[in-house]
Amino acid sequence: MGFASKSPWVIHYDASSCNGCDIEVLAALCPGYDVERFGIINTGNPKHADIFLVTGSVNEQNIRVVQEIYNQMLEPKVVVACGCCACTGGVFHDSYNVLGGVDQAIPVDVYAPGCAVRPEAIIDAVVEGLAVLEQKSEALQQQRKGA
Amino acid sequence: MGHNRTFQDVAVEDLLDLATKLDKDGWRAVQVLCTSTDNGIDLTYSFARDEDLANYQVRGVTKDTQVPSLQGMFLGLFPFENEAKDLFGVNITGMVLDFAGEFYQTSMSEPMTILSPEAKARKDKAAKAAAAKAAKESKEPKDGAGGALTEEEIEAKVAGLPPEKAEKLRTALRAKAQKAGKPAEKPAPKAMTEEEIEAKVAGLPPEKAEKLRAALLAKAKQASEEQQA
Amino acid sequence: MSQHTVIPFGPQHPVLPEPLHLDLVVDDERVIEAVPQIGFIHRGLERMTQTHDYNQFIYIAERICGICAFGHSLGYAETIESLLGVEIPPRAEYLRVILHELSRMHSHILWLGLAADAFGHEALFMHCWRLRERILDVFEATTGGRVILSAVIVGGMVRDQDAAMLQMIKDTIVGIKDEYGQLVNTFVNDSSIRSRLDGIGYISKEDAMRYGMVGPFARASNVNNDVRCLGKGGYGKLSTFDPIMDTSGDCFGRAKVRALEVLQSADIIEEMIDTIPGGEVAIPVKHAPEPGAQACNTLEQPRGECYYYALSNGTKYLERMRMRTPTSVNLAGMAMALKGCDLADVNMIVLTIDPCISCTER
Repeated sequence: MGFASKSPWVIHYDASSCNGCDIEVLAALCPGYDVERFGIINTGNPKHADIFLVTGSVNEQNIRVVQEIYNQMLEPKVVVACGCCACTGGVFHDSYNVLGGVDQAIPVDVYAPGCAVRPEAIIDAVVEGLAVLEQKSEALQQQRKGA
Repeated sequence: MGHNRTFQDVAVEDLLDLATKLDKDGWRAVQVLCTSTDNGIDLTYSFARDEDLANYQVRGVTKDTQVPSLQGMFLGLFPFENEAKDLFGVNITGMVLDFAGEFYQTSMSEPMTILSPEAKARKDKAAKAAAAKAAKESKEPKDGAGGALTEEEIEAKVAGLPPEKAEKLRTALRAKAQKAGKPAEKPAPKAMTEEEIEAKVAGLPPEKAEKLRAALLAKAKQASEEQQA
Repeated sequence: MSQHTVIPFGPQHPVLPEPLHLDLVVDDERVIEAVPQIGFIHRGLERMTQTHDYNQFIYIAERICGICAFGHSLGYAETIESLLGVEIPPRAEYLRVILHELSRMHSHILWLGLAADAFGHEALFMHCWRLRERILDVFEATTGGRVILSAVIVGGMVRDQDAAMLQMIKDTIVGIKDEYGQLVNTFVNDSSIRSRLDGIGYISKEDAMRYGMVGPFARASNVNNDVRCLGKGGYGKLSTFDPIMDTSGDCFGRAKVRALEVLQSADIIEEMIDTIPGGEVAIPVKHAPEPGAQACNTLEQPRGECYYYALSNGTKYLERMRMRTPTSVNLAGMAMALKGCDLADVNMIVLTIDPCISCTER
């Protein structure tokens, strides 16, 4: 069992979300569901974060912002797309200003559907993401040893 | 209850004077909205004071019309005027906070003036139906002339078709020619007798039977009155 | 000799729940000017009336904003009912007001929590959101959703609530009041909170009227634009309604107005539950509106007055649907309130207008 999956820090960004999924993300951090007992902290600095929680679809104006945050995060990192809009564009997928889900901008590791996504689903998705984080961390270590 | 809502039209030249007067009288600016129509863009300015909500509409603004900005008196309108410029292409001049088309960076310009394919299809269909209706009404059966095809014309039309189709078309065209030959006469509605009405309602559940009976009796009465007239 | 620097604030910032970009022109640590830039959430949903008919569009209207979701579905439904000339049953009006006031309570408590986080009081943030979970449990029990409720349709409500459910709502409200009273006491009386909020972001009454500000943002500057006073729908059945006003005009005034409005909403809900009439809760509405008919409507949402406009072209697809939300007009007031403040106060001032940028941009 590696150390990467212990107390991962998350960074949250609202791409084109209606805000429903964002308040569910914050509710997951609050006493009702309390992921802070696992050591998960919501940070504002991309360089401190392991898991990137994105909500909402992607449009022309925020595609650069999402990519910028993703590029500034350090390896290993995991992206969790929270909510239907982040997965595929949701109910707005055919609107003129929506390019689609978050996978149009950055590679996504875990998709958590729902409108709005329930805090239980977010916790499940983060736990799935932790497994992916472990794999990436081991791959990175192998790479460093080999080099 | 709620606000007392009114809608009025106003010309684009009178807009600035109207706004100055409303500002002096203590009205608050609520919003500006645009509607894309076939004659240009319609702007609706809304103002509120106490229990009144007044909407002023400027009709048919085109690209050449210069619409004066009201931000000097009502700074709160800046998001709406910039949105009108970005999404509808309205030419608003003299803004205090002007984002020069960069307020919403959309991938298509003036997206709200573009119809989506479904809406376009619906509009075309409605236009076609309206045109067909108008054409039909203008082509009312004129006395005698036109419409009746002669036998040679009918044969020419069915030549080359497979036998059953040819026969069907021939019969239909003949019937049409016959009908066109006579002046259009609506057959007088025959008044239904009591036995015929009872025959129709037999076998239906009681409430339905009652309803149908009443309707048919009324129709029969009307038809007999028309026959007498 | 001082230097002017431009600092970009947002769109990603821990205190901002939504992406908003501000270019702050600062002179050392003092903000001289703030230019807002939005457009990150623009989904272009007003044009979706062309692909969704008026009964389907209510699900899109709800998803303009997750916090004011119920308010938008309510305002939209009222506008379409006005366009069609339809009267809904009285029980539906009462149920709508009950759920709307619950929505207001949850929105204000959410805001109080975020404001507490912004001025550094994380324990208060956690307590507020803990209380808020009880209201979300009520939403889930009555409508099935925590955030997006989908409880309103054109013509009434989707489902009725029986007496047991209404009693449960009342018990929850009464149960929250005590603990919430303690939180309000902290907000209003604690000296360290007062020192962080007093005098910050002051807007005078004249300025508030000039910028056309609405909602608790304006009521804190003693300007009353509350639509609930006009008694539309279920609000006309209340025995009394006085909006909560404050004269201080600064961040503290705005926090106080919102904190007290929660208690007022609790009283409104209790009164509505006690006097709710019987009857059905929906009438079927299927016909298309008259071509060229237009209707406008206003509604007092948690953030202020919301304006709706609908124009029909004779089919079931609306020609134009417009939702103008309170944050759009409050943006000008926010930009003015930021002038002359310290850089460290920027996030507090931005948060006091209760920005709902997804509502603004649709």
